[in-house]
Formats: sequence, C-alpha cells, structure tokens
Amino acid sequence: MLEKLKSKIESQFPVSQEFWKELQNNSKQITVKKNNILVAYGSLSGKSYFVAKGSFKSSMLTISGNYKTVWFYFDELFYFIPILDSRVSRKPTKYEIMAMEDSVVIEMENAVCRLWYEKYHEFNMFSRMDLIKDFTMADDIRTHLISYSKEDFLRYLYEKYPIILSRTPSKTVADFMGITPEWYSKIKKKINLKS
Amino acid sequence: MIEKVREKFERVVPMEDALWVEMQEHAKKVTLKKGEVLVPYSSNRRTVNVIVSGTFEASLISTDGDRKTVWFFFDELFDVAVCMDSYFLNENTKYEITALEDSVVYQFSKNIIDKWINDFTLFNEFYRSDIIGDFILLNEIRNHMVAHTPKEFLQYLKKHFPILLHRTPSKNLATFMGITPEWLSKIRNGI
Repeated sequence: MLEKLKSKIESQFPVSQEFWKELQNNSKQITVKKNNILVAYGSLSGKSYFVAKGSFKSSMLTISGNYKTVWFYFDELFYFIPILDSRVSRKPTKYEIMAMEDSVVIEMENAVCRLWYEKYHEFNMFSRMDLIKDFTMADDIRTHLISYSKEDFLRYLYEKYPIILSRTPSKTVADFMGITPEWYSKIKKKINLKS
Repeated sequence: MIEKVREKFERVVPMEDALWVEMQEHAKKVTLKKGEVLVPYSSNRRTVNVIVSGTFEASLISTDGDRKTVWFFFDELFDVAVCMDSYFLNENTKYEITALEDSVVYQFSKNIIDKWINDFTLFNEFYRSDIIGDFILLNEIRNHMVAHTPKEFLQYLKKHFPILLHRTPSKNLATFMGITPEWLSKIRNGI
C-alpha cells in the first residue's frame, strides 16, 4: 500500500532512494474497519494519514454537543488526513475521523514529516502542492455549500465532485448539507428526473 | 509602505538581503477606494495581494449573477487576498474581491512567488507557515459555520476572531452568515 503513496508523489516529482527508504522505515500501515474510528474526538494524535484504500468522514463536535459531518477523505481524492487543528495548536482535536468503508491508511508522525520537508525536496513540494490543492477545492465546495440552494449545491457536487455522492452514504451527505435524509432523497430524485 | 510587507514576513522568519531586493523590485503597489474591485469576476489573475492597509470581501458570483459574501481579508488577519481558483488551479475565477475600506495592497505574480519558494529556503518556510496557517484557520471557520447555528457561530467568532465582527459592515457579515441584517442585529444583542 505504501507504493500508492510513492506513485502519487512520483506522478509529480522523482522520489529519491533515500526518501523511499525513510518512508518505508518511518511509516505504519493501519487497517480500519467500516464505522471504526481512526482519530477520536479530543485526542492529540500528532500524526497525519494517507488514505491508501477506502474512505473516511470527519465530524465536528458542536457547542451543543452534536456530531456534524464536515468533510470527507477518499483514496482517490482528498487522500491526506492532516488533523490540522491539533497539529497547529497542539491541543486536543475537535474532530473525529471515522471509516465509511473498510479502509487502509499510511500513518506518519508529524514530527517526522517536518524533518522530511526540510530534507527531501520531493516531499516538501508534493505535500505543499497537494495540501494547497485540497484546501482550494475544499474551500470552493464549502463556499458553494453556504451560498447555493440545496438543490443547486447538489447539482454542483454531481457535476464537479461526483465521488462525494457515489461513495458516501446518503445519510452522511445529508448531514454534511445540513438537511434531513428524506429531503436529500427528494432533491436527488428531482435532479435525476431533470437530467 | 512596502516596509509593512517586510514586517509581516519578519514576524515569521528573518529576511535575507537578496530576497528583500527582489521583493522591492517585483512589488506593485495598488491603491483602492472603498467599493472598488481588486479582482474581477471571471478574470484569471495569478497574483497575490498583500494587504498593508484596509479590508476586502470575497464574493461568490453564481451563474445567475447572484452575489454572496464568502470571505474577508484584513491588514491584520488573512492579509493575503487571492482568488484561489485562479491562483492555484489556473481557472477563471468564480469570485470577486472588493475593497470594504480605502485600501492599499502590494501585488506579486505567481511566477515570482514560485521562484522565491525554490530559491530562498526562508521564503519557502514563510509560505508554508503563512499560507497554510491561513488555510487552516479558514477551514476551521468554515467548519464552525456549517456545523453551528448562527448564534453559536457568532459566539465562536466573537471569542476567536473578533476582528470579523469589528471591521466588517453588519450587512456584509449577515450575507456571509446567510441571515438578514435584522436577524444578525438581534443575535448580536442577545450575546
């Protein structure tokens, strides 16, 4: 599975033998069953993950104590799970990462990643470009979520990011959109009829 | 005024002389009056705008021409105004960036930024820390916005990002939150 990460990097930058050895020696493959938790709410993991197989959802614990789906990660898209809030603030995370399918991730220590940024140009450039690309797309999706009607937003997802709809349970997409599963199903049918 | 760009940089990493010479050479100063457009809708401008004074809002323009405020940039926080879809993905932007106050920015092209990332280790470090740091905060605010009620979200902003409440006109903040200015005023009084 580590080969998948290597090939992703190699699609943009050549991977040196030295870095490849480091990656093999300092990363860990973890299998996560569907509905099992990869990162628990309130933990201080200090780790980042590459999704080699499967998919995950990120939920936030709200002020009123409810869990709300706020993001997704797939082996095909948004495949880095960085747990950014605890990585930067060094405080327990407000998020929970749960597998939506049987999944496999490559776990990397953030402290090790920081050393790799300095030492290996390919990792520095790849991770920076990849994070920025993911952030840009994620922000675009969220601005559409807050700006568009639910129907227009779903149409936008269908056109631009069909993977979110094809690999995420309806209940979870509905939660992400802030609507009931019944309402989601209704809009979905309406869009299908039109298209 | 370009000294302010240097100050921002030096808050993160020390400035190298060679980089400072290049920065002054490649910076383009742009002054805007309140209400003027910095980055127009549908343009493809691959430049960053470092705000040294003033405030801007980014609006998403729908295909029907509807406009919705989706973000803010200040000289104190989120001080790099950029349409990310153009800058990072090389697309005609779906956004428009407009001055909310009389403002001054320094523009740098993506080509020169990319060159500095490769040529200057400290710039690379600054870029990683500053750009990605802003992305993280942006991500946090967006997640809180979609996950919470308007009242809870306003409490969160007041506690963590008071600048958004102090320097943003109520009308624009209300549009950003997807509520009416009257509703915003009511919530504000309630907290």
